[in-house]
Amino acid sequence: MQVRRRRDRLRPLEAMATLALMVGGAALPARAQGLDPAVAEPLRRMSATLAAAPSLTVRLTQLREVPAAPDSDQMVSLGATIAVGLKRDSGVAALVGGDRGSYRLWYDGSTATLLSLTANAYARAALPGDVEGFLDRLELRLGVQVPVRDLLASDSFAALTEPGTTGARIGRTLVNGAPCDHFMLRNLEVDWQIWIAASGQPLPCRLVAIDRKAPGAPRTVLEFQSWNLKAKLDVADFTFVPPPGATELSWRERGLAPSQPSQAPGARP
Amino acid sequence: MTRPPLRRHSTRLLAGLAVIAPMLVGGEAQAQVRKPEERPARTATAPRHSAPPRTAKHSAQVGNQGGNRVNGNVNIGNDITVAAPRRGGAVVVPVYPGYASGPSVGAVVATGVIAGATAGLVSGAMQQSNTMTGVQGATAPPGTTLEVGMRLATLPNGCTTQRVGQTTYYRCGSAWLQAFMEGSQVVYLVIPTP
Repeated sequence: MQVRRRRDRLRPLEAMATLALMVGGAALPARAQGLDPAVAEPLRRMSATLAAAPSLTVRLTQLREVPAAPDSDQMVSLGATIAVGLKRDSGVAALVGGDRGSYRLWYDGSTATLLSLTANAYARAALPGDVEGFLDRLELRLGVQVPVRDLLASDSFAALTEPGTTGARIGRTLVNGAPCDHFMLRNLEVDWQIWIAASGQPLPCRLVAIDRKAPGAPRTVLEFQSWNLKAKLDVADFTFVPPPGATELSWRERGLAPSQPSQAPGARP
Repeated sequence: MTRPPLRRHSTRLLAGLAVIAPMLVGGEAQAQVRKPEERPARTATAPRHSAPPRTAKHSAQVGNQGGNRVNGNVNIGNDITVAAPRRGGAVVVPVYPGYASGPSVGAVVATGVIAGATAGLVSGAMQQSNTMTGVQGATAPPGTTLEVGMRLATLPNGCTTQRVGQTTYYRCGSAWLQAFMEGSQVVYLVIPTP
């Protein structure tokens, strides 16, 4: 869930918040001032639980409410079902079926491949770096969002509670029949809520985010259906093999003209 | 560890959408927030959270294998490919028809559903996506003149493919189009004659 803003957008706002704190008139308490322990501690336990898993899989549904048109105040809800697998020393794989398209994604530690299932076309891009930061790089360079980005970070607490975050515990409720604790949080741009399992491992049950600053204040609801923190994943799960008849396309990076696709072994245009 | 071979089944789905993709096969669920339905890994039952039943407006065609685009229609593959289960069940995700691909939603798409959909998922990230992609996904109405620089989510009817060197282009009347991946979507860009 992208409750975290991009670093390149953070800086001016962070600077303002920091300045406000320095002059003693801060209306927006920064994380340095301390998030309410009633919120911070459950988030930290959740983060530690996720980080302790060398590999994991998660399946979730997503509902996004967005403006029907750029200048419209009518909202449209778009659905998706998502599964993500992560092995911290190997790679990432994701399956996404949604109203905005269905695709599969592989990352083997150096190369990302995305296969559009409806077009039977794929594109590849070199994205070297650590596995846990892959989803960040994928989003920043290629514009592909996997909504569990922050939760799969090496320190999801830090990823979620950026400076300026405030929060409170609302109470305990049931999410899909399971007891979960409900928290509301706010940072400089996003109001978000998280429900964390109150029994068993402290894992996310649900996550809701509203981007107050974006036109129409889009709202995203993630319902986590299952977590598996002992997933048996291996290299083959992160290795792309072109399906029969698939076409390789150039992957347009942000702000760059597309380059010609590389020759994919086994690909048949 | 060697990954088990994939097995293909040709069972037709009753619910109208296919279950794809196998993988992410793991051990027993350790921390399920909600206990999932017991479902054999190789049944032809659509998952609970598949898209709503199709109506006549939907363009997805069930019954064809694969995932090929044919003049704006999307054939949602109804073959189920599942990995042989290891210790646990495969994680499956349904293929949705996709609003960007259906001519039935062309009017809405053209007026901005797709553009709006890319705006502001949560926080700043999607605004960047919107900036990058701009207005995307329009299906050209019949009779539209395809001008260089236009970007379409689907090919107009009647286009043919043509190879030039290593690249595949689409000829739509006198216009040349080339497919690219933008974000997670295929976009057809009207280009000058290569």
